[in-house]
Amino acid sequence: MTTSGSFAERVRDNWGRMAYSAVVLGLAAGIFFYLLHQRSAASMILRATCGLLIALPIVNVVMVLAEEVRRRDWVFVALAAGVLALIGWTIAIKL
Amino acid sequence: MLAEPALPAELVALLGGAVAGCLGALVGIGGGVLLVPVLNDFVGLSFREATAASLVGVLATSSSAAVVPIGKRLHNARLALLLLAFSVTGATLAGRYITRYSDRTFEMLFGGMAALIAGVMFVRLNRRNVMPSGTDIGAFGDRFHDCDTGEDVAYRVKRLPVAIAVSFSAGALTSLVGIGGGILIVPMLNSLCGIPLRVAAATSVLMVGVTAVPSLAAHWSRGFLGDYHIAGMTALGVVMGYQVGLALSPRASVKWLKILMALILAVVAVRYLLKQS
Repeated sequence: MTTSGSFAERVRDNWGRMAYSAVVLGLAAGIFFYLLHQRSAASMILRATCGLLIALPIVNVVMVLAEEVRRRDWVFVALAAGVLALIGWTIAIKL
Repeated sequence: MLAEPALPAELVALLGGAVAGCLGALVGIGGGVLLVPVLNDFVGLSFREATAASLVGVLATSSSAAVVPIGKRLHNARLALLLLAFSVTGATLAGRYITRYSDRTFEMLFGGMAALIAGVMFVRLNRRNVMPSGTDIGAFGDRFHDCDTGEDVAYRVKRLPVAIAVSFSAGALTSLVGIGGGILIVPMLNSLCGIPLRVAAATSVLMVGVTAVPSLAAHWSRGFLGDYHIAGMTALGVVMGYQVGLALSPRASVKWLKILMALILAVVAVRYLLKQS
């Protein structure tokens, strides 16, 4: 593993940091409003933050898929696509 | 819905999340094995509500792991992808059998597996999986900077079919018992598959986040997250605890991390094997 990382890794890294910062801010803001007894605002913010938490792993797998397409490693492209399809199908049947 | 604990429920959730996040950074478990009992027994949530909040904590642990700086990142993304394909498949297939046997049967199965793996870990406590950095790492191995020796080292994945089988089983047990699977994946990858503990931990934390997504979506759609404040406090605790664990990890020797992991497994095994219905 290189210490500098490829360009794609850095893009993924920057996206990840922004999304993670949004999660932390969302959690803090939601709890802050809850403690101020602003329940509806707190629920709305925390609901959005939970949605972001669910989206993050999926987006990360999509980014891994894109990276493997760039590397033309079709075995891992198929694996990543398979994982995404399986998660999408599992969510669909559970919902 | 909530009982009247000695401490406010929100504080218990925050502290539980912090401990879970710290363990996630140290030994790679997502936190479900700790959070579900804490939220169920001490905060007073029902099992399903506790599971839902715990899954939010698991995702927070996984998200925290994903933003570790590139130079300090230890996870093996390609191996995680391969094992994810099997763990998600296991979770999906096992869902069909969830009503065929009693919950007690699955808990005994899980407790038995945890006890077996704890035994394997104790027996292989002094075995190290790192090799000189010039070693051929094969298709799934990698190189990283080892905090214990201060050198750049390599590792090579051994017994890949075992890793695949364990991931499939962990995914199935996630579906049946409600735990992320890291508690089984990390020790098996380390003890039998030649993967250093910190790498196994980092890889597992990423995997359990993806595996938790369908379960959380299902729990959320059924209203088990309530008004979100307990889940929010849990996740906030996880985020803080993970940073503490990340700071502690380089200071803790691999041997002590293995002992911690094996002890957690042993406690979990005893709890599930002796649990009253």
